[in-house]
Amino acid sequence: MVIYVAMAILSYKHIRLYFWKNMGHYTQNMISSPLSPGISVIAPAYNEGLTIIDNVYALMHLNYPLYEVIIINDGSTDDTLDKLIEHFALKDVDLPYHERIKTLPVKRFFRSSDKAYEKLLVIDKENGKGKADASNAGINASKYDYFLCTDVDCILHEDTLSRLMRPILDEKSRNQLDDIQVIPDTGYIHVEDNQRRVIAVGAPLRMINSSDVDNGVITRFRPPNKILPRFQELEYIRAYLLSKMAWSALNCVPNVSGGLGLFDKHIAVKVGGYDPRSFAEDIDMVTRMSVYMIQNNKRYAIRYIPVSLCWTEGPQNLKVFSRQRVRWARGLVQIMRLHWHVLFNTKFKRLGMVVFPYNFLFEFLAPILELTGFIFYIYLIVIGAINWVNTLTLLCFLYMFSVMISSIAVLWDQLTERHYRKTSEVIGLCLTAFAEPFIYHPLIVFFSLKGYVQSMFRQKLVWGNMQRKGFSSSNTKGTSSST
Amino acid sequence: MSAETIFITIIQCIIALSLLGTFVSYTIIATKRHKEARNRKRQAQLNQLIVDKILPQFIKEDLSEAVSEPLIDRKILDELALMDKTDRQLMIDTLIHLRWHVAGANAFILHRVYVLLELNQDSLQKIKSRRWQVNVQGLHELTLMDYAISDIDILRFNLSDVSELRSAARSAFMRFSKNEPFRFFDEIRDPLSIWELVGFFRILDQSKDTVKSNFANWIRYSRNKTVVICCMKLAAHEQSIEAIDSIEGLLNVNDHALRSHAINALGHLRALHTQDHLIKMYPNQPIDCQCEILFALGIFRTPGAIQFLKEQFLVTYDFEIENNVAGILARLMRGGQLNWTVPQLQERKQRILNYYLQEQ
Repeated sequence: MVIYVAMAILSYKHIRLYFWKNMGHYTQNMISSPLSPGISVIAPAYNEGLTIIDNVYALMHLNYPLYEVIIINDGSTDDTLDKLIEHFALKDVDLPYHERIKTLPVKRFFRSSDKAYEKLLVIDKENGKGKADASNAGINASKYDYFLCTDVDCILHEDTLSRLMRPILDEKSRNQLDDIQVIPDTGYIHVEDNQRRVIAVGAPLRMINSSDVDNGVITRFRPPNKILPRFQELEYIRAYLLSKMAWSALNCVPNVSGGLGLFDKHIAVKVGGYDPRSFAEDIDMVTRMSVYMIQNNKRYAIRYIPVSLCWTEGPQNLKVFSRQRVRWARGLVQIMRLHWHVLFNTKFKRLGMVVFPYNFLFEFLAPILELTGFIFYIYLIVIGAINWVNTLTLLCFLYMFSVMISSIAVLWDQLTERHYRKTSEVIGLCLTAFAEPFIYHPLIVFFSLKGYVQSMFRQKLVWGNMQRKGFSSSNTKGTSSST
Repeated sequence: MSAETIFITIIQCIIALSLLGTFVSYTIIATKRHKEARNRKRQAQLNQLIVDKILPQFIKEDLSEAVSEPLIDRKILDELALMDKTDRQLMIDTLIHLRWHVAGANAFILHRVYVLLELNQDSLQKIKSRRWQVNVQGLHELTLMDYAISDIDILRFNLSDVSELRSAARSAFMRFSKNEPFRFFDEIRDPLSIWELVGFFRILDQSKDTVKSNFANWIRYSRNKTVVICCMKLAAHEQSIEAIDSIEGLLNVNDHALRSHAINALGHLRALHTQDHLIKMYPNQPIDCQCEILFALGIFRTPGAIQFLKEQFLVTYDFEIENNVAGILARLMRGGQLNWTVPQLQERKQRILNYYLQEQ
């Protein structure tokens, strides 16, 4: 409880500081600046034929002076590639490609013959059974020093790149820098600058279900009408605005989401990019990047900003939701197994003493402890040793506290930006918190445990299709899918 | 009272606090949204008022003539209801928003509206506040509305413990100091970030009448590395030729990050006389410095530089360098500065060159 309250306070202070820092409209300075570093936007696509054109349009209309959009057709079996070729007048090019990260074979590269789409590069490759392999191909083909990893079905805010780039450019060393030593005629001693380097930046993801979208631009934000995406919206707000903002203030961010993350390409390549065998490739890569920095005595930071910049379609039915959560749970087991040596290891500083222990206790062990507690209570009821008054008081405490934390998260969101037009929509979202402990939370615990069991018995994981409703326009809704 | 009872009492108190916390959250959300809606509506009205009624009066007036009497009708002033503090702040925000999107005479008109409505007094009041956040806000308002204040009023913030305040003060100083806009470089003890530099560039671009600074001294004598990097970038942006000698001195520093910035600046400044030095040092440089040397030689475009680029393209096997040189050579070939046909070029290199030649 104390940790949650402390995180709420810390995140509030960090959010306020972010807005004080951005008071001078300085993000707009970047749009015309020759100093803005280039960014490669990498978006893998698998069977996204229904929405691909709108999504690519949206990616090509970001407010940033120097960026490219790399779409990786990950062996789609539908008409994704044909649509891209036809719509953007793509032609085969012989792109100089250096496979710095090993991937499945890349078949072809396409660029548009229309100058209006010169930012666009399309890669056609064999299906890698996941996002990681496709993203790695995108990293290999990228030409800039930073890459933004996103899903092609995500809708990004037009200022996404400049807002995410700011923490990278604004990171300052707290120590006075070394004096410059001029050593003429003695050859060159190549010293490394040990200023703190921001290796990744993230921002909140939100649910797009029920919002109005026109040509890749959200014209009206609404909280999802369906109950599952609605719960997820609340969960995301809580996770990003309470948890990750607080971790960012302490420079202990455990993960930058695969849906939206800006990464330092140099470090990402050094650690081998995304691991295609991983079920949680985003946490895995961020952990490896952090380990690399620590082992090489380099100072680093991973940052989060409080402004929602990315909207994605959440699973609408229990089957897809179950698949997603089971995969996440298995990913967490994998991460714990792979990076076990980091846990409680003082050599890894905050990563080993704060980030990993928190993940282990509050993410990994939590479902197991909850199940154990539940079984213990049943046992007490069976043997008649339960004090009902105290039990109900404790349950009431847990319930009310979780409702309060969710309400505070929504409040922080409202202090950050007000996407929803009506107050009733916001209050409606807050009220969802009252149903969450009864419906959503047990589901999450169940699917996490299912994932752990599957991990134990090494069952083959089915990535499956993410059934999408599509949001290109109200009268063309259908179904598309992605890994 | 038993320990169990105390525990349950504490839990009950937390339940009550949670209930209260939830209720307070809802209340703040509702109140804030109501206030925000009201402000948005008011801001739209003010925006309309400025565009429809105030700006046309100013546009009619000859801007070159000094006018002592305020031009805004009493009626409009009343309509603005500027006595209210929130409305005054909204008006400042509206003017800043408009000011951001215009330049020249229109920007000057907005500045005059700001002064005539005495909104500058509000901003000046803010820089006297004890809260650093309010100071920053005041400095931003004055900077963005181009309302000059004395150097002394700004320089005191340079000693602040809060980096955001120091940063805002630097921007304000740069904007308003007529004689030496970068004098604050002498006093900087903390590192400058690239982000601040982005802001400096923007201010430089907006203030064309600013006195040209001599960055050579800071590049040569500053002991703050970020100031040196900043000055090299500013010198290159401002085409400050007198800084070339100082930058050249940095070609021998042991910090390769600094060295690569120096090479880049020399390239932008077209310091042709450094060509031989750059070519000589090329083989024993790390890859980032090598890429900068190739970039600089691509800008020089002398016969010697082009010959070196061609040689490097033929002999190198490094992917990054190969692509860098191919890009530079292709640009020169497309621009007609280079006519190069190599009969015996390796197939891979030919493909790379062809790719860059076809690039739009």
